[in-house]
Amino acid sequence: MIRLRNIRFRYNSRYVLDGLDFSVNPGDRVGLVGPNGSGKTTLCHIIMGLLAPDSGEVEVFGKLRKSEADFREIRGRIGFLFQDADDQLFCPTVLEDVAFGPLNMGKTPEEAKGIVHETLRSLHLEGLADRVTYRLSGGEKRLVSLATVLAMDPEILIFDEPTAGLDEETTERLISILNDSDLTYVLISHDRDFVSRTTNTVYQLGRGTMCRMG
Amino acid sequence: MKSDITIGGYLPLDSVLHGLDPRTKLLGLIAMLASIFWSPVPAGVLATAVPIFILAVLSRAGWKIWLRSTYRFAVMLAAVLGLNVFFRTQGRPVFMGQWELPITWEGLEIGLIFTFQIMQAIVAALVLTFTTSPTEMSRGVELLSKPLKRLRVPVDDLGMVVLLAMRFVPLLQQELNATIEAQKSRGVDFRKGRLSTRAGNLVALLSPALSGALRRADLLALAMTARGFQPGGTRTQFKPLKFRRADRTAVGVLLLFLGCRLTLLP
Ligand SMILES: Nc1ncnc2c1ncn2[C@@H]1O[C@H](COP(=O)(O)OP(=O)(O)OP(=O)(O)O)[C@@H](O)[C@H]1O
Ligand SMILES: [Mg+2]
Repeated sequence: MIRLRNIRFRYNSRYVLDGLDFSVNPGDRVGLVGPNGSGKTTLCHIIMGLLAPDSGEVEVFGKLRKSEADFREIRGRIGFLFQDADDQLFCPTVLEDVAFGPLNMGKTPEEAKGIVHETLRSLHLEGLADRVTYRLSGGEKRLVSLATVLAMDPEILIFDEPTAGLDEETTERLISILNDSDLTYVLISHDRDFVSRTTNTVYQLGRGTMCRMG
Repeated sequence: MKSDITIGGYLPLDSVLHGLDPRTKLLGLIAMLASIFWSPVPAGVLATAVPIFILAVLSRAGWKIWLRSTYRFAVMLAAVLGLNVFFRTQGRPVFMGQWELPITWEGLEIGLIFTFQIMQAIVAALVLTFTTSPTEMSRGVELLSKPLKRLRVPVDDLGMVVLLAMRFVPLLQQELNATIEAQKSRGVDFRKGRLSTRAGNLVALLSPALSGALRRADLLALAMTARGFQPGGTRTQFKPLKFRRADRTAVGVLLLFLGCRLTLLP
């Protein structure tokens, strides 16, 4: 589904990613680990077309993606959870925020509302629909972010540190949600236990390239 | 104390004003502002004060919130009054006993009227933001600006811009609070020291807060893109706006007031 070939990327002069290869196939549950600043978030942004690599190929859903139009096509199909939940939420209320994606995809208001309630229910967040997003607690923001992503019914999920700031109970809930789903996903996390319980392949990012850990 | 109401934040209450169409309220605000500043005569300023006061009551925000949110503008109002009173030297000087004060009756009158006008404008604007959710506001702006499109003004995303601008107020406050805390913990005191030192501290405060806000703006654009938002693209709307009977009544009352205000008082 995702295939990156020989990707090089730099912010200023230093290459953060240097000749990186990475691929995800349907059904894969991939864990991605690596020290702070090793380029994990950067890699995700490249896959989403939010950053353009200096060289190398990005292939998503069987097609080379280069232009903004190419990436626009895949954004509804890849669910991306930002590292900082504050960056993910921007609508006044939870309801509107979760509906933002479906409405962009051309759903009618009724359909969107149905999707929102269904998604919130599956995450046990029914009570939050009318809350003001920026006044939620850190953990609630994270779960609502997850809801905004799931509401788009993606084919593949990319989560940038989904467990940061979650309590044990909520982390357990996330683990069971992931294990119950039949989604393909890539998880970035510093939490080894979480990664080992939710993924079957783990890659380590370091010195600009990727190596498989098992 | 950390305030839980942001300047001009929406209050999710239930009032007549909350129920009105945002377009009615936006046009109403414009009309009220026009009549407030129409002419600086005491009678005119008092005439607008009455409906503004009624609107403030109708918003059901409660006097506590009104007190707290208008208090923030006290310094600004005092400055406006001071500048007007002390820098207007023509006219009859004011005497206190046999002392001639450095102010004039004319300056006092003009200053007071102008300050009162600004105060009314602030209250009118707050009524709008208290009773209109950001989403409604953005929708209202979007629809009202539609005619501009014919003039080739790029208004496609004006509504979204308003929405995001309103979202950035709390974000900026957060960013500022975080920076103040960070600097306090490093021993910076914003109230002590010479004026130059304090000014320096303030700059040191603003630049990280601003760069933080810019970084967030960047990420916000990414977040919107990642969820399929396209500038100028079509988006389905949640709640189509509708003019109801209350809106027609409100427009009627407004027109009546404007008519009286403009014909009865010059
Ligand atoms: N906008 C930017 N401008 C300049 N440098 C950046 C920018 N964003 C990230 N970097 C740098 O690129 C490197 C990789 O950043 P990235 O956020 O991808 O790391 P990460 O692996 O996600 O780290 P973490 O585990 O802390 O989230 C870091 O050294 C970072 O300082
Ligand atoms: Mg990161």
